[in-house]
Amino acid sequence: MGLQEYRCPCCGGSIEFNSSIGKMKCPFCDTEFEMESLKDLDQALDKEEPESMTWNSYEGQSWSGEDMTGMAAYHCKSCGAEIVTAETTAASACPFCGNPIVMMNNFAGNLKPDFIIPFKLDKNAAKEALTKHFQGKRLLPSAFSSQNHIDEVTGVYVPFWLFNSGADADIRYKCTKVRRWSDADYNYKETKYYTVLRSGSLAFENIPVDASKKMADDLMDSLEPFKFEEKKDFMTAYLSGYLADKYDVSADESVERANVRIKNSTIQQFRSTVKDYDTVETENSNIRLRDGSYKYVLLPMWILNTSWNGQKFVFGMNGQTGKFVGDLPMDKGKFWKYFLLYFVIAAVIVFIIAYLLMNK
Amino acid sequence: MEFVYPILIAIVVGLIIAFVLTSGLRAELKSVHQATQANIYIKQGSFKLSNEQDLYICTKVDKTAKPKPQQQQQR
Repeated sequence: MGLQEYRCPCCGGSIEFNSSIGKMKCPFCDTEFEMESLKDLDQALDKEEPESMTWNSYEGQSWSGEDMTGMAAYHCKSCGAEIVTAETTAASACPFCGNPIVMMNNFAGNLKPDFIIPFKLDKNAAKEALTKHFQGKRLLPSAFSSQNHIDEVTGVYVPFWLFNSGADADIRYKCTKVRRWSDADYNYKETKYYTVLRSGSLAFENIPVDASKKMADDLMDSLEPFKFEEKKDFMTAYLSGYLADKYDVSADESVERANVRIKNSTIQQFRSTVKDYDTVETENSNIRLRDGSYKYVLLPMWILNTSWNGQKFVFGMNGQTGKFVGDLPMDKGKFWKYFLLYFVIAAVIVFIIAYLLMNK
Repeated sequence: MEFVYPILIAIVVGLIIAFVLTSGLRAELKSVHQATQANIYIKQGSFKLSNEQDLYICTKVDKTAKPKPQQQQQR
């Protein structure tokens, strides 16, 4: 059994047992420690387990001959996208880069999606949402919204991995409560040190991570959330009229993004239970995933591409909820006009107040 | 001279206010952000604490002398 070394929370030095006072004492800053508190801390540290972020393996479903009947696959020679759709849907341009796409001779599938969320909103709703997206943006160049011609509005089923997992966590915080007072000669600052321990569990459901290299991760993240209770078992018929991208980012490659989100939210959730301290510092956190599994799904997105002043702008609309996102350009002239306007108004008001106060 | 300080204050505060307000207008143009959390995907009612301990470790008191008034020092 290894020797447990205690560190003084006040100065970080190694503390040791002082036989004359019968307590642990820091030889550097002379802080004394109650043996009972250290015994409780010892017991808690013994229980801490190593972190583990592993997921169960995924078998996935293969395409059957029946599934593949009536499907067409296209290849974009420009960006490498492989797009799947119903044979009846004419596809001529790549939804990601806008270049022409060609039909492939045979459809070689990877995995068959487990679920799909069908489109609820149509192309017109996407165009209306774009107009609405421009409204109220005071720094948007007028020419961008008035001359803007969206090159292509495409309904795409984007491949996602959906992660489900339980998480157990042990988190240790170093906390302080500070009290200050004074007498005639001195100012006093009393700092009480606490070790705060929290253990528990929580579960995550349907964390989506996009499985397409062509779709920007931040754009896809911004289109969340989806109503996963409306998901359906995959059927080829849902692809009619839309394009579907095939995944080119494996679940193993995507898992890190899910892990980061789980870890951050777990830490935040546990942190919300540490209250009434003046300072809280996380000393150690161990998060262990439990029953981690994932599914392959297709989610509906309207993708709108446009170019302006040689720059490409991509907008996206959640095809289920209608959430619309996309960064817009800024008119620098308008920016400085507003800056000057706000500066003049604020400066005049502040000048009057400052003048009146100083010449009372 | 009575205008100098109010003018200086007005310029500094005016610049700060203009910067804050125009930053707000710039932020309106940005709607794409990377997600770093999964709070909305926490299963309702799944968060349970099995251990909740707040262990008092020690107290440290720092004492600093108040500066003496100048008159007392001169006497």
